[in-house]
Amino acid sequence: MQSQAIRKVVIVGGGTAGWMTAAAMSHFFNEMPIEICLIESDQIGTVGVGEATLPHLRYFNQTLGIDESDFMRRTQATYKLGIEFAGWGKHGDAYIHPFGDYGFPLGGVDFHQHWLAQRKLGNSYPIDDYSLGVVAARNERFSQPSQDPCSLLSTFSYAFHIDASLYAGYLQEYSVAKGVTRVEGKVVEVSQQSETGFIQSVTLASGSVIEGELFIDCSGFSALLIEKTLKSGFEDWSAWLPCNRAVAVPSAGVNKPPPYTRATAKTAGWQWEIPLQHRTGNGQVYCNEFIDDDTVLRDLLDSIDGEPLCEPNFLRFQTGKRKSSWKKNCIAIGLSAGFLEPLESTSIYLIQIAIMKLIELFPDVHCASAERNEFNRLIDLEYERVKDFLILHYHATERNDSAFWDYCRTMPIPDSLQHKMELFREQGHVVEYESGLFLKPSWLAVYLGQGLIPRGEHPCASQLPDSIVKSELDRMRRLVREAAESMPEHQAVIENLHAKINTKPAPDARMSLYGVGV
Amino acid sequence: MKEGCLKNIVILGAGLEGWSAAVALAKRLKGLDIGIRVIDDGEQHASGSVQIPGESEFHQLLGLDERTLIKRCSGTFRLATQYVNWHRDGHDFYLGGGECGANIGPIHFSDLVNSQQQLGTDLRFERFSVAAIAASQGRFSHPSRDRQSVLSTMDYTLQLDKESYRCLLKASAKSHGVGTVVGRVSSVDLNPSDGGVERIQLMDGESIEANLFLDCSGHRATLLDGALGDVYKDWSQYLPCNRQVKFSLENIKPNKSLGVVLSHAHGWIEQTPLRDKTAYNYTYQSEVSGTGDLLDSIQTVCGIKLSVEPKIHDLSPGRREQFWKKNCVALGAAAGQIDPSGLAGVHLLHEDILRLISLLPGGQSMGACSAEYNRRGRELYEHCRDFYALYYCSVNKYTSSKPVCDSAHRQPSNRPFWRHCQSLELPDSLASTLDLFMARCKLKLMDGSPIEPSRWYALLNGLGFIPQRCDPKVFALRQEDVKAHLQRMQQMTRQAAESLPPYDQYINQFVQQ
Repeated sequence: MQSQAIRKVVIVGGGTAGWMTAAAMSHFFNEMPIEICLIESDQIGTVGVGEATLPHLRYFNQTLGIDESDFMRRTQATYKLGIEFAGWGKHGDAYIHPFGDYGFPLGGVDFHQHWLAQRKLGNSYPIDDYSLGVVAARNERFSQPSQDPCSLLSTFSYAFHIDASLYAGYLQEYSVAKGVTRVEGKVVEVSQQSETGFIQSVTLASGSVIEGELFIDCSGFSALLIEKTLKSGFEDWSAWLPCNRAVAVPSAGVNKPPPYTRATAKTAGWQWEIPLQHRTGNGQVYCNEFIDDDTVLRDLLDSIDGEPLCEPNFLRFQTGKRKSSWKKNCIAIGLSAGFLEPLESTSIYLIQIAIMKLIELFPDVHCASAERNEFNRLIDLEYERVKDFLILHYHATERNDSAFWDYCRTMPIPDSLQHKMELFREQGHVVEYESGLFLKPSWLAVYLGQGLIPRGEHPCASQLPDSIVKSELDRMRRLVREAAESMPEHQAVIENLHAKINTKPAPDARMSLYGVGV
Repeated sequence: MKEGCLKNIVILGAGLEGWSAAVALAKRLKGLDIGIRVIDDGEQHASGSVQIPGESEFHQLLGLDERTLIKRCSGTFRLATQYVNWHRDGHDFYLGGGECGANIGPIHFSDLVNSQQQLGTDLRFERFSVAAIAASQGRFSHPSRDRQSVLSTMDYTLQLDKESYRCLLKASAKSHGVGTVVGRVSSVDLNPSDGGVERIQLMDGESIEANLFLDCSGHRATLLDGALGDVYKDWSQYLPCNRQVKFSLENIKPNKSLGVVLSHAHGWIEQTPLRDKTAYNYTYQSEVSGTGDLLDSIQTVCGIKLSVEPKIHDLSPGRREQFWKKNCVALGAAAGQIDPSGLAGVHLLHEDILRLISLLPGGQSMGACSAEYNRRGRELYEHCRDFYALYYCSVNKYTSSKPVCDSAHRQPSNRPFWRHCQSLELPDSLASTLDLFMARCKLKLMDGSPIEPSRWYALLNGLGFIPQRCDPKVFALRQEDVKAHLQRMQQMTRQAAESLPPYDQYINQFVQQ
């Protein structure tokens, strides 16, 4: 058994994907005789635009023993409580999708059913008012959530806005200190074993040959190993998610970065705004069949607050996923595995989940089909969940002011999403599942935020007297408001972080978007 | 009340499933002025025992506390089940409720065990199960609430006399306003516009209408099958037993916290201790038993001489194609049958009723609600099917695995029943589960399964499935450390189990509080 164990892993490509993989492996395989080598070229730029993340990244860092405050200082991070979506349902609307839930169930019936019933009676308050994560974000407050599931302060979670290239550098230091070898160079050739087709080595421009038993393809869109060599194939999703271009430009930082990401719907796409400590990341995602590059760039430059800090960076992409992320002895992680636009900050999450599943299912030199199949099945599930949720953002719209939005509003959607939307429209029931990313609170945020109001409700929604429900909802709003007001200003927390004062140890992280009390 | 809203629910069938649904709906829909009636069509109700998970969400909804159930339904608590002569003569194993062992950091307990198995030491999960050891010694207590204590890792089930449980639920339902109509069905009329059930006509001429009908009429499914023509997916190629008889005896004094399932020539017999008697469920495959005398077989197998042949019940492993069609929902045997052992039956019934409650239609349309109900139901039934099919799957089906331990290669039983089981097919989903487990000691992710991974691992270990490889991270640990850790765990488990009081002592105190 031991003689079949993997002794050498080669990671092709740096950036967030490569260095997260290297760092995680160097941690988990610390006591094992596994050599990890990462090949990256300073010549090849990494895509790294300022990135928003999900709470799961905290779990990743904690597992690796990385101190959160140190990480935040090194990556110029700010806190993120959620994402504000402006103009998606219709012009002028805006809602925040928080890392948290809304209200509390009453009489065994979900809060949102009561909210809908009260709305019909004319007691209408924005659903946002019932979520501590949202109210805190809007008021630019932040504090660490409580770990006590009975406390209102445990009903939200948080993540970060980070400079991804600084994060990659940070993890590079971590990995190298734990024995990972960094090789500077560009891969020009890949050679395979004749019988199995397994990748046997890669050759660099310098002529050096790097051999390995397991290869991780972090080469980004070029997918040197998984696609160019192993021809895994690509499943195209552009019929549902038509955006295929992006342009990014960082701008000088604002005085007080808000603790949330902004995603503003545009004529043929959307614009992101990611506030970091030292600058703001801006960009637009769009479909070049509906709008041209120059128009987008002009609009982007017009709408950003601070001074642009460098030339804009144009990107092309194809939305979809690699048919098999793991083929033979090669696993694609990062952009080589697939691409879904960063609408819900899922890119780093998908990297993380691939790394964690690979480490759980770590093979021997034979890379048996049992492990490969399970890995691919799990990755498929993760991508499917994200895909459906992103399509919802585009499809659940009333916008009819451009050909792009007409397309999105009327396009055929996957059966699984069709079923979910019908069920919610019928009586406000959210389809529940266990595994995969966006659970009930997230679906509610988007359904209600984008104006999808159910026709009916569950029969039990009318069991409690209206007066009791009204007073309970009034109480919830008050508690949320008071809790948010008791939290310090986000800017103050960031300043203290830098000055290293008042810092408390970060709460235990979990693989969940939401707080402990949700 | 809005137009088209739920006003009337009619339940066809007054067995355990019918009354379970009736009382659950009555409690949940209190104050909403929704009429609930049960049609008692005079069918004789199956006797025997039922097994219910401890701390059941269903019972919480019903406000049924364990003391009441113990006293009024001859209830006992079970911590483990012993399987005797399972697949091979002389091969016994225990399945204890709850967790076995503990992980070391990110390394799963089953990988630790497998690393030892690869070195030639076979380790039985039951030695790491507080519930199994306690049950084998006739001890019991409720699990501890202290998460730090190893006594919090136990889980238990409640065994009840089926008929007195049914009567208890019936009485509770009636006290919550559920009406009864007595009569046999003469015909079922469909609504010409939407194809749903409009009314049930009884022999005495009475006509029963409702917005929603629950078909609790057993496998024949008078509404789903008889009226709406919904097909039944047969799973007899996966699950071997097709007949059962039930009987009980007064003067046996078995170990109360332990259930025993003993294999015999044609199937198996389960012995369930209840508070004041012992229930037996003699289950078999009729193709194997042939036309042999049933009473003789029972006497040969367990030395029990019955004077009268008990009623033979047919079992039909399988599930309804659509559990909820139009305005009719199948529950219980009308919805499907997995296996007469263990938790499958009532557990699924409770899951189905709770899910139905959450998806009760608010308006006229039932399309999306029923689609979701069915989607989730299919998942649940198929996960359960795979788990119970595993009980009958012999390790020898996996001859590709190299022998690492003795137990994997003892002679399989040549009893007719086990020979019959060799010819069973494996559902594809179970085959892929076994592929991954045998390759890598890992359970595939089963999204939404009602069976916890710990039960799978314990069953696989009990049956003698030994993976070829485990998580390579195990080999980062020194094997002496792993061995010592496992020995310590066994010791702690045994000590914890032995600290529990004898069953009768605990129960006597419990019922008096």
